Amino acid sequence: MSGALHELLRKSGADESKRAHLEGRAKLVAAVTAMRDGGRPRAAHAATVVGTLVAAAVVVLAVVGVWRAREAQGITYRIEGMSSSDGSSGVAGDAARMVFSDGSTIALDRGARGRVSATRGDGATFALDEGRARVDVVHEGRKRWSVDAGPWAVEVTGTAFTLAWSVDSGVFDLWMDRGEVAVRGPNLASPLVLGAGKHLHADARGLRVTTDGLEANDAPAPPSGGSPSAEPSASEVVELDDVPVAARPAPADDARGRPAHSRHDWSALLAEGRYDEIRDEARAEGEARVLRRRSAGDLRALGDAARYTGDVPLARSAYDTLRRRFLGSEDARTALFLLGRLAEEREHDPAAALRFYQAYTREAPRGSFAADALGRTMALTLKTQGKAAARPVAASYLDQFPSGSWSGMARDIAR
Amino acid sequence: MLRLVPSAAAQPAPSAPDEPADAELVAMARRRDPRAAALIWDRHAGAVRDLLFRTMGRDTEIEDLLQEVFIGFFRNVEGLRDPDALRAFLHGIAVRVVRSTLRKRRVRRFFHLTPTGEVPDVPSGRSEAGPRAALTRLHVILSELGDRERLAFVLRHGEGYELTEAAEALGCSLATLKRALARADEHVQRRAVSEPLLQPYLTGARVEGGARS
Repeated sequence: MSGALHELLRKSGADESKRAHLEGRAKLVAAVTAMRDGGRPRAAHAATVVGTLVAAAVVVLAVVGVWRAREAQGITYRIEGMSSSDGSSGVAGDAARMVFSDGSTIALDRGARGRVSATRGDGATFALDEGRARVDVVHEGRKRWSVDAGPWAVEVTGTAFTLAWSVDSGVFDLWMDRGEVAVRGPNLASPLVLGAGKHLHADARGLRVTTDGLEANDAPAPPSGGSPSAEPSASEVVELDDVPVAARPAPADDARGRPAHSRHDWSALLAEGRYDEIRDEARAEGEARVLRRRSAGDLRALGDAARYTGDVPLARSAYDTLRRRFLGSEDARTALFLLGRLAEEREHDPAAALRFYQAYTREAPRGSFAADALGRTMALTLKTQGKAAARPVAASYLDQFPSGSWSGMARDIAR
Repeated sequence: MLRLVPSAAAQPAPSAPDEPADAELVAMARRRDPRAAALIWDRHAGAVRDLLFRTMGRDTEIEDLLQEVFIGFFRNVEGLRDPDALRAFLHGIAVRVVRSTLRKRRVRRFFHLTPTGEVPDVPSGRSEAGPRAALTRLHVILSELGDRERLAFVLRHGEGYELTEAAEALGCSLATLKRALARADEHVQRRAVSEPLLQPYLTGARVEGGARS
């Protein structure tokens, strides 16, 4: 046996772009975090409030407690004004306020529910499950804060605003006080940047952005258990009048979009490779109900589990629904790429795969899968249409991702 | 048999003076330190990815398999007896992941879920030449082997494992490993002589350049 042949093997290795490395690392960190959190009991406190304020007694789940956040060496926070708490994973009560170590605050109105879903060194992600919250992020250096509310995501640098979200009515309101945010959500092909004084209102009829000078503190409070009652005063309708909002997410059974009988976070199950359990739970719950009510994260996990196990119809349904229900969101854009993978790997339909990859590239040119989508477009173009047709795609790939994992093939094609 | 590199399997990965040693990384993982995942990934992902590549060839699932290896580590970190053996532990998980993947593909092939039993590979490109093309042919030849023979060949000749280390990684006796390796060597030698692209590697001619995917 020739040593040169062994050396050929020994010297070989997978191309590893910096981008792929970082994406892989982020994916692992998220999976390990999900495993850690999934293994920890989440406290859920039954609300016990009398009279007309029964609905105001809610449970707020704080995923990361103060001691754990400190341990994470990320931003830390304390919770003030809570009426009860188990001190580690949950806080219940009304008018709670979270004070973060960088001075930022999030104040929950009476009856609101929310949770800190992630903390980092440069910010945090807060999920408003229901009700109204006032967010005040201190502008200091480079910040990476985000607030999620149903299918909406608000990316923050340094700013103050109030937002409200009603699961039942699907109404979302955002009142800007100062600074600037970028909003992602249904029917927004790209992030919508809002400055001070703007008010975004979205419901089943459409989406409006108005400039009404409304002070955040004067913003209409959502009625108990419902959405903000006032229509935008609309002194100036800026844009997007009556843009239809995509079918809003149907009411979910709990704050995380899971029915009471479901015990698992599907993203965590996916991270652990427990694909069959996800499919079993989906079957038990009923596919139609799952597609109608589950969160974007769960739909993506279900689609991935179905794809990995060869259940093409279920994977397609999950991704299609993700795309339809959460149109305009990052998850919906990702669904395009995943539909491409499904078409390429499971349905062996390169033409369909190409269409999905190209659509993803158009919708998310800087998305997490941008390099892979373009690389796969190049490979499929080469396979189906030949080198001449693939050459411009290869050139575009090399221009954007010169050290990407497809760069070797791109150079071969471009030569 | 020419062994190309010193045994690397059991050696802790080198760390800079100001970086935690492997044993410390394992301790961090055990106490669920949120920094552990990123640090372990940064230090070991490259080597594990290379091992996967050497075994599977260019494969669209490599990044998914890489995630599976590291998630497997965090799920089983309590089972690691020697914290200094993090690298070998990860490689052991990678070997199991590869064997499981190959087994699943055989099942898929049996049930005709895909024509080949594999998630379609990346087209190699018609202009592929040189070491890359030779490596592709070598991977085709390796894919004709049984799982144990294929892994024995890669661990011994690609990763530089000692025979005993390779036997341990594959969960078999030393004698079994030797037999598997002999079968792999014989098959690769027999097939390689009929592959023009591999001729330079058999005749002892000096061949320049490595082959990255």
